[in-house]
Amino acid sequence: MSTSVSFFRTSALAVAAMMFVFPALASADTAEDFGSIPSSPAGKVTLSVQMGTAVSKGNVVNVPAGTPITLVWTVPTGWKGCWSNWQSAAITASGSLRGNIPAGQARRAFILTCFGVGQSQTVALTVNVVKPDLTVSSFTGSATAVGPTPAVPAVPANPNANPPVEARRAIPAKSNKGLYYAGTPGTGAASGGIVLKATAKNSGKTPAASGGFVFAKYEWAQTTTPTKAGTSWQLLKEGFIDTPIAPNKTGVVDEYSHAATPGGPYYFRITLDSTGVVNEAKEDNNMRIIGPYTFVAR
Amino acid sequence: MLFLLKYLRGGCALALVALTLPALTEAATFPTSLAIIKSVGLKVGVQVDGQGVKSPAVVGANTDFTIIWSTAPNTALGCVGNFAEGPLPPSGSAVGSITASRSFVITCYGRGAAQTATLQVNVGVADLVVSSFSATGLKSAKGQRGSYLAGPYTLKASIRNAGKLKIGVPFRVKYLESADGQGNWISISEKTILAMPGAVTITLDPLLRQGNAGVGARYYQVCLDTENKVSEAKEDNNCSRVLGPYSFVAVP
Repeated sequence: MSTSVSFFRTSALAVAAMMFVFPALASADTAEDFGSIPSSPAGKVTLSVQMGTAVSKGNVVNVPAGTPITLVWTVPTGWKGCWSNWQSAAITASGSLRGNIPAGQARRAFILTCFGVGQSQTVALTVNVVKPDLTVSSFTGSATAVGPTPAVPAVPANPNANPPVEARRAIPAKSNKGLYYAGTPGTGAASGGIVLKATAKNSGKTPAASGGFVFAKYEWAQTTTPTKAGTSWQLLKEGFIDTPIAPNKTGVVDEYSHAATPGGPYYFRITLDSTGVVNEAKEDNNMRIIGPYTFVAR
Repeated sequence: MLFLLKYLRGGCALALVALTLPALTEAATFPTSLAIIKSVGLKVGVQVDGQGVKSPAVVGANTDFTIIWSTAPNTALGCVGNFAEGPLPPSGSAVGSITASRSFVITCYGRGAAQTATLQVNVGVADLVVSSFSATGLKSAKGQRGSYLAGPYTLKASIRNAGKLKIGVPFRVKYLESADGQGNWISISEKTILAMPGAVTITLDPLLRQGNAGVGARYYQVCLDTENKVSEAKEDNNCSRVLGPYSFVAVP
């Protein structure tokens, strides 16, 4: 009795296991009346990205690099399940998954196909990994230019004058372009030198923020052929940029007043994110050079 | 002991926090995108007695038929239908019967696409009738109503399945002859029709007869499914009208 029961149990379990593993094979090709399963109701599959409390809209989402995202999907009531391109197993219900886009990947498409009896829908969501891009929006040096030397008219000779006047040639005006007064910036009569100002623009698609301060530095070099990399630049000041800078917005860099001594020509250089804390789409567009400036004593 | 209890409670609280705030745990990296398909090619059909049926299919009530579905290779992961519980394989078949017309819906899905097909299956009936029955080649004898000149003549008949259900079982067709047109019908020719689609007419082979002078009158009739093998909507319309009487006189 117990043997037959055991056998029966074993057989029943085996059959049940077969039906569990191969439910379709178990139900198909057997002579029986067709079932009448209600069709799944119409519905809408949604797939979005949640960052913090914000939920994405549309099917393209910009996500700052290195920011974890939460995929959120909803499956209409009465539907049977979904298949996705981000997990090998079937998805059986509405849910979410938090994760990172792999480093170095600029774009990732998430695709979800949900189905019910008589219903199906595929939704796609593209996540663009975006970065800020700091560029020098403006870089100016305010210095007091040496004005042009006025022209001196010619003087004819006049031997009869007392004392006699010798003839002198006319001296044309001189522009003195590139010449500025040395000294200390200020408003006094003896002021000179140069005040450096710069603004940074975020040309990227996500705010330029590092979680801390973003630095910018002013440098100068005495040269006639300045290059961004090949010149021996000397630090004048390292200051801050007003951050975070929203996309397509500008931030002001701390200005620097430079007390100049006579000499030149000098070139000045601004370097944004001088400590390299902002992960940018382009890292080679953070500099600008102005000049030449030659300073002369008053 | 009290400390241990508090510690355990604290552990439960931590576990609860970790459970309810999974977002606070370190996020994993999304795996590489799995391959997706652009479409699922789905075909669905009905077979009755092993032979395909044109859509919309017509089947007999309580008569087994087969729903067959197939998807393009390597597209679908499975299917669901309104005729079976649980998932179905990407390609397969199911046998069953229905008592009323209905639609069969199957949705096959893959990673990136899905496809739904609907198949209407109507419950139909067969109905055999003799659509025409006539005698040709008869030459009337002048002045003798109902009499014809002796000689050959031909019986022609066509039969029709007036129903929409295909007849899949063989049935017999008989040309019958009688002396009085009331009874005592004798089969003079028989034919077996193996199958007959719905709403189709078949012309039977003509039956050549010889009219001999001096022989009594003859009546003719054609009857279908004489052994009652076919289940029909109406079983009392399987015989034609009676032709006759045909009497023959010698050719002058």
